[in-house]
Amino acid sequence: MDWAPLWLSYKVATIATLVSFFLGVGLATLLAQFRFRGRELLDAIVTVPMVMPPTVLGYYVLTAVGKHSWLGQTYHSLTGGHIAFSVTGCVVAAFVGSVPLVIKSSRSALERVDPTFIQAARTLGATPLRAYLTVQLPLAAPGIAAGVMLAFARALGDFGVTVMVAGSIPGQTQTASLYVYEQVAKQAPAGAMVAVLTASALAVLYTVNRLGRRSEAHLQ
Amino acid sequence: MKLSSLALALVLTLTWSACSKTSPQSHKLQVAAASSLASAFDDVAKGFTKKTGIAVSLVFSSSGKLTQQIREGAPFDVFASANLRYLKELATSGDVQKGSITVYALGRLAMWVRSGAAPKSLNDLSASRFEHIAIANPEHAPYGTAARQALRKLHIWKTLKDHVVRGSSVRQAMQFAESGNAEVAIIALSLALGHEGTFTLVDERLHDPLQQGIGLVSSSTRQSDAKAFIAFLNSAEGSALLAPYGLQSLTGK
Repeated sequence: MDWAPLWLSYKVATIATLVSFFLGVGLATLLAQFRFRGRELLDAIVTVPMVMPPTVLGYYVLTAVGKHSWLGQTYHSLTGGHIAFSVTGCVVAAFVGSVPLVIKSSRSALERVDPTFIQAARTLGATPLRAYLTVQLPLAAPGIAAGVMLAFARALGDFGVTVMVAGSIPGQTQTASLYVYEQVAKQAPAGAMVAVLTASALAVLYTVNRLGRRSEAHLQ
Repeated sequence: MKLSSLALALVLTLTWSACSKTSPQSHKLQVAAASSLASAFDDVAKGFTKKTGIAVSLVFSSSGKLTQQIREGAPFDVFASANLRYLKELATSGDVQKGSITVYALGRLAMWVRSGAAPKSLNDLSASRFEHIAIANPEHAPYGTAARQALRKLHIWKTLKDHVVRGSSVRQAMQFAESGNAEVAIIALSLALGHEGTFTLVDERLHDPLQQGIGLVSSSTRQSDAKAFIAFLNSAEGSALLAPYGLQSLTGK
């Protein structure tokens, strides 16, 4: 069993989750705090990757970041490399599937924070930003953390989008999911890898459940 | 109380319908074929239906994956693999009827580009303009295995390895080149002939012969129709339909 794909998957999932965290919480804040025309439409658009068939999503991603796309060519002129068929491509693929999870959980968590706490902070002289950073975010933290953990698990397991964008280059862009798929396709053993991936997913979900309990207790 | 018994009833119904063995039989003959045969078998199936009135449903995927699915009981009637080895393996395990396996054509490898001129030989692939070379996954797709074999024989596999991207099937390898993300794809001639673009044939002495085999899946419930399909493929009419896709019949027609 080759373990390199597993390390690649963890690396890709970590980077993708970090990006999802910053972009996701940012977008969630926008959706939770501000009222504007088309708000729910924006929410739907950023969430849709969650329910789209992976190959369809993969097609869109490849079109958006491929060699002939604006994004792809900008990336090429800045770094000399390409997004498709690279680790960056794997990260983009994982990110697209996992950021909706962060957005959904974080928006919900932010909205559930009792406004009186924020108002209290304001009356004590805090600016809106300070109130957000020191009162609202920490109170929403368990919910946000749950979303981030789910995003990690999703990023770790991505297949459909990755297979369209990464080119499955062994040692470079062959993530654990792709590796398992190919092992099975050529009737070679994949059990150990499958077991590790399953255990990772279970560990994440267990942690999410525990965080959920904490969140319940917190906001009572 | 009521909600949980409703939920239980729903779960049982769904489970029962999923397990039901009396699901309505599709009236179409289920033919599993290698992705390299996509365009060619569309024509063959049409010709077969026209002649016999039997409707055909085609499933295209990498030969290795289909082999695995058949081993696990996939409900196909006929399996057309891009090589003979997978069929022989299935015959050994009893999943395909040994006596039904025939080699009906030889496949060829080709280098395909979406636009512009195709490279003249495999050695030209070391040129810097080929940043990404797409092939089908050599681990389970016969045309991918042949592509790797040819590159190894020319001693350029090691140098080109970092530029090689693997599609999950020979059709996906072509899609990488079609979308412009790979500059060239080494694919089946039968696919290249079915699409626009330019190609160059790869010297067949560089790889093991790509014997296109077909066999009857043992668990098929439509054995006589399946045998008729296999016979049609091997007939003069079948060969004529395959010829435009570069699938050379073995009798030298």
